[in-house]
Order: sequence, then C-alpha cells, then structure tokens
Amino acid sequence: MLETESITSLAARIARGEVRAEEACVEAFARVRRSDGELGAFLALTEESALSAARDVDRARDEGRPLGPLAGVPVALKDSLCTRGVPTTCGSRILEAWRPPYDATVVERLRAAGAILVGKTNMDEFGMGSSTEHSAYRVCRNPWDLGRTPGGSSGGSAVAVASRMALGALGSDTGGSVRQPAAFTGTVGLKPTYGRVSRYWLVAFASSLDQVGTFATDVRGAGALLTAIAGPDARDSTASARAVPRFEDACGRDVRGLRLGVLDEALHAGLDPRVAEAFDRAVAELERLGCEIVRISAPSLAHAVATYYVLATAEASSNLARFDGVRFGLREREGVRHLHELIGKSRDHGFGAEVKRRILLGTFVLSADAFESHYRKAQRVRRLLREELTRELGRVDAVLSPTAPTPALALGDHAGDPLAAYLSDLLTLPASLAGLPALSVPCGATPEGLPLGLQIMTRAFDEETALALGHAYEQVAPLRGARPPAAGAL
Amino acid sequence: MKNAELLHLATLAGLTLEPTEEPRIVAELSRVLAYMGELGAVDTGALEPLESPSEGGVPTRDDAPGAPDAAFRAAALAAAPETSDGAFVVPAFLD
Repeated sequence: MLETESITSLAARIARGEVRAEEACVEAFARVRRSDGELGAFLALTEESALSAARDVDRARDEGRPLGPLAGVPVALKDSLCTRGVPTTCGSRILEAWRPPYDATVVERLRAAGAILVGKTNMDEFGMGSSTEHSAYRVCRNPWDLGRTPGGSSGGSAVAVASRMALGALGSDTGGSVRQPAAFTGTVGLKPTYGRVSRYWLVAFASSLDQVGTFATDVRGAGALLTAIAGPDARDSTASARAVPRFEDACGRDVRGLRLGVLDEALHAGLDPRVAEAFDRAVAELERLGCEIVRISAPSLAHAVATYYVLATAEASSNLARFDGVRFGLREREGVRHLHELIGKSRDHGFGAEVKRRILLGTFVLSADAFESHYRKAQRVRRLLREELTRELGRVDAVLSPTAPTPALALGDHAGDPLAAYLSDLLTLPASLAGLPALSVPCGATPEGLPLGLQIMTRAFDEETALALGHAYEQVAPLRGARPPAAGAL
Repeated sequence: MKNAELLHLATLAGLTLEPTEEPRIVAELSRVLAYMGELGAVDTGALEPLESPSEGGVPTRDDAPGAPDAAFRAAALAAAPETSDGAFVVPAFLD
C-alpha cells in the first residue's frame, strides 16, 4: 500500500478503518529489508517500538478513541534529531556509542501526532555535505540511479521517502540539506522559516541557519508534517510564538493572479542545460495556471556561497567544540597522558575529513586577524542579501529558481574538490541566509531519468503560499507519480 | 596558508592532525580561503552585521545559573565515556 498512498491518504484510510496501522508498519520494514542493503538510507531501525506504536494506533481506533493527525503513518528521522535511548550519531564516529537522554521536540510532537517512527537516516557527518558521501557509516545511493548520490546532507531521509520505506521524513536544512536531496530523489522537501520549528535537541551545526524540514511524497504531506512539528517551544528561544495554521489546507488554494519572480542571477549561475530547460517549462506551466511571471534581481546572490561558508563554518567550529572526549561519545585512550591530548586525539579520530576542514576554516574566520575581514564582513553581506530578497518579495508573492544547478552527481564526483561541492549549494543558500521558507517540488527529469526540482521561496512565515503554488504545480508537473527504478523492483 | 599556520589553527581548534594529511589540508584551505576573500570587495556600506534571521534578533537569557536538575545531571553522566563520583573524569592537565 505504501507504493500508492501519501501521508494524508494513509492517515485517512487508517482513521476510517480501511487499513491497519500494523499492516503499513510491517510493509515499511519489509521494504527496508528488501532494498536498504543497497540504498543505505538508514543508520538505525526501531522496528520493535514502531510495531508497538502501530498496534497502539489500531487499538485506539478499535476502542473509538481519537487518533492523532498522522496516526499510523511511517515516518523516518534524520540522525541529527535526538531520540531517547536510540543511537543518534549524526553520521559521525564521534557519536557512535552515544544514546541521547531526551527526544527532540519535533520527535515528541510526531509521536503525539501518532506517527510511527521507523528509524534514523543516513546523512553527511553533522550535516556537512551535499551528497551524503561524508557519512562515516555507509554509502547512500540514489534509487533513480544507483551510481549517483541522493544529494545531502539529509540524503537518507530523501531516499527513505523516494523508495517508500517511509511516507514522510524529517531532515535538517542548514544550507539546502532538505531541498537539494528532495530535488535529486523526486520527493517534496520543505525548509520552513527560521524559527517556525523548534531546534531543541537537534544536534547543532550552524545555529543561525539550522532548521528542521519535512520530506514527503507530495506537497500536502510535506505541509501535514510541518503542521505536526511547528510552533512555539519554551526550550528553544528562537522558536516563534506565531500561531501555526494547518499548512496542508493551503493545498488547493487558488493561485491565479499570484506574482512570481524569476531570480535573474539564478539563471546565470552555470545551470546544467537540462536543469534550465525543465525550469523554463515549470515557469511556463505556472503561467498557464494563471500566475504572473516577472524577472527580479538579487545581485548579492553572487556572494552567497562565500558568505555561507564563512558563517556556517564559524558557527560549526563553536558548536562542535562540545565534542571533546570528556562528555560525549568517542574517547581516545591510547597514548593519552594529558587533557589536550585526549581532546585532540578524540576529535582527530572521531571527526571525518570534511568536518575537520570546516572546523579549521571556522577557527580561522573567528581568529583575531580574520574576525572583521571575514566573519563580520560575511554577516554584513548576509544582511545585504536579506534586504535584497525582502525588497523583491515586497513586489512578488514568491521567488522561483531551480533547486540545484545540476541533477544528482555520480558518487565521487566532488572527491578532492571541496570548493566545487560548496559552489553547487548556490541556489538553496539565499533562503537559508535570509531565514525564509522554501519548498522543492519535483519538476520532471533529465532525458536519462534523473529527477529535478523547482524551488519556491516565499516571505517569512508564509509557507502557505509556497505550498499552494507547489500543490497547484504538482498536479500538472511532468512525470507525476513516477517511481524510481530501484524502488519499482521491490 | 603555510604549514605552521595550519598547526596553529589545529591547536586553537583542539585537533591533533596526522602529519600525512597536513599538505592536503593546507592546499584545500588555501583554495577555499582565497574564494572567501572575494567578500572583501563587496560594498556593504554602513550595514550592520546580521547575526541571526530570528524575528526578535538573538535572544539572550539572564546570566544566572538555572535550578539544579538532578535528572538531567544523571542522564548527562550516564551518557559520558568515563565518570567517577558524579563527575566527568579527565586525564592530567598540569605537569
């Protein structure tokens, strides 16, 4: 049944008694067993607790008790979200043996909504990467082409949904880590406004950029998941006190007359011709749906990559200082006589190459010599970019661009060239730096069958317009309902 | 970037690097830092730095200790690699 249902359709069928939550759960794990050896989406499975939770849903329904809005729906969690007593490694050796003492707020909220949590998904170590190749544990493959990456850093969550081992998943998006893997796997990915969702017990990478986001097989599902996890949280002072709408209700809203801005600089960002062509077709479809298309400009987009990598590495070097071999995870004992050796060796052996690179970069930009010229300067460029986007969003309802400049890359394509990998994040970074919501919705595929994504960015706290547009477009998008070949063989 | 600068950064960052990985890291960091250097040419006028996109700016709390939380303390200690008498154990830090 997972092959054909969505989050909202399955929840409705379970609520009506047409399907048992246990059946859906059993099917999810059967699919994991058949395909995840090859795909590598999961780092840990929670089959026993999932089955128990599914039976609780069925019992509640049998007894006529009220069900949560996601009751019985299999959902996967990125491994950067803490789960009490369940491994939470962030894709890093340094947290291999660690078991969190608490659940993240979003995990508590999913449980309260009745979701069935099936396991923890593969990721680039601490979210640092765009391909999931920087996982310390296993290779994660794109189900549309097993020789390619699923994108990242939330690649495992994207693959779990694309292959329907779960119908929804949570990821975290610091510079595009939900939207880009969604685009590469033909799934829907939503990064909400900064502050819309609590980050409590999300392991921090870059605190002024991190935001929990949702994956689903359709736009409505991505909205329904957001409804379940959004809202104020006394334990995260950046979580907004704003009221939370039922985001999924924006799907079906009339989009005629909306003004959509095509970001000029994005079109000159070295787009793969196949991406440019699919994007043009998507824009034309939205115009046919009654939207008005205008060209807009944010010249500072050209500096988004440099700005992001200064700020994200600075924040990462501070946040990851907590991993010292004393309080969490890996502790190196061999040849250790002094505290500084314990810290240095535990970190050197526990962190992978990309994490060490970013900690070193962050340490540099925060050093006395570079603080003004790099760190403070990047914060000023960040404000400039946000002002440009805010100005443009004053005259349009949404900003359109491709989600990524290329389709999914082959495994190993960026090995040895970190700068090339950083540059590929260009189109997802503006929403991250400005704290704006952005949705990636599938917009067809390359002639080779690799999925592509359309990104819809809107004003702060206006996820609903992005969802309304994404849903309207989804109904007419090419290859709607297509399934990846690796999942079709299940 | 020179190797000596990398070693200084590694000390600041609490990392002990393997000597064999140093030349590669120097080359990679040099390239990325050169790219980041482009920001110097951006005209940001009198704009103030943006530290957080949070609606209320960067929230702060009172500079005061929170109430003791025995459950949190016990959970934190239970998750640590080595403890003794309710404290984290570290090797010597003075000669």
